[in-house]
Amino acid sequence: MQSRLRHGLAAAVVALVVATSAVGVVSAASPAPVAGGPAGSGPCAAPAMVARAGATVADLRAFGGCEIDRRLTTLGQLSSIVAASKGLTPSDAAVLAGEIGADTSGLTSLKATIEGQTAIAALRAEIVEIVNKYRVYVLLGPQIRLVIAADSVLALKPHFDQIAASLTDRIAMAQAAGKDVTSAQASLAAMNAAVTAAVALASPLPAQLLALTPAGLAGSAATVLQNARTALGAARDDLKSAAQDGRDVIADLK
Amino acid sequence: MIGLQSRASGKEGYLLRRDRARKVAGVAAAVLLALALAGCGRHGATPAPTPGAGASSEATGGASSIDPGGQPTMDPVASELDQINQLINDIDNSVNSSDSSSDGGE
Repeated sequence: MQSRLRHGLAAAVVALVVATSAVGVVSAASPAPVAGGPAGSGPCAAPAMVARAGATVADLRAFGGCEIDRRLTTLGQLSSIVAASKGLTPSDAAVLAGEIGADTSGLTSLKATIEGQTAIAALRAEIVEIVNKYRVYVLLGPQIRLVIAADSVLALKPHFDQIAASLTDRIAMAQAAGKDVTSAQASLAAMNAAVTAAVALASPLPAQLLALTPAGLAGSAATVLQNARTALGAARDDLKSAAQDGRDVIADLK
Repeated sequence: MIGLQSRASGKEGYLLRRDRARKVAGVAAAVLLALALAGCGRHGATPAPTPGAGASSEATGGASSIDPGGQPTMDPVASELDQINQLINDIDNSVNSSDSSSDGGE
């Protein structure tokens, strides 16, 4: 009797495990972004602490492996972002996918080197390479997001052109019907001017951003990133104004 | 004789209880498995938000109107502006998430 009950309980536990793991699968389907931040932080804080305290070959390998794994996960997420982007041009998407692929294979190879490394001095140099040679968090991630933003700004231009054409027709019809269209015309002009300003801000950015390299971070690359961020913030505000101007035209003609 | 009978009925009772326990355990396991599978289905069936969905009437401040047949119709230009609004939000997200300095660098 007792053994039967035990079997029953075991069956129930198995079912519970299945239920729990089903929830786990659902959660794993949409992974949270891996945080950036300095080496030795976040998920790698513990192995970093051990490596600092003892600095054995095994400790340094574990730390290096953790930092590389963190970056490989981020690269996978960036790859998904590039693939899902609606605004990226196909050529820019191809360049960014190539950079992600190169970093992924480089870091994977470096991980194998670290795992086979036996000299502490060489291990230290290879761990520094994880950061300096790839710059996944301070360069590649921001570069990808800013190129997506710049391309997306430029991709909206034809949409606004189409809207401007439709609104021009509506204004002409309203005017022909004897309606005062002064305000609508002013809103349409403001919309077109805001779109022109946004496009002017975004146009040079993809080429500038795609030219950045990890080696350039010591020089002007950080400034290019910051200036691009500022310009795209202004372009975004211009586009918001343009969209509101378009709505104002519709309201003016009612 | 009485002793044998009571032993026999005791054994029958035991067999009956054992069968009942098996059935209960089997039903419990089946229910939990069903719950697990239903949980999967519910998560998988959650519809993803579509671009522009939910933004229309809020963003346009009443871009839709009622046609003579009583059906709501959307101004195509206002609808296009709503979709643009969604894309501007995407640009906003890209710009905001491009700042690695908030993470403290690399």
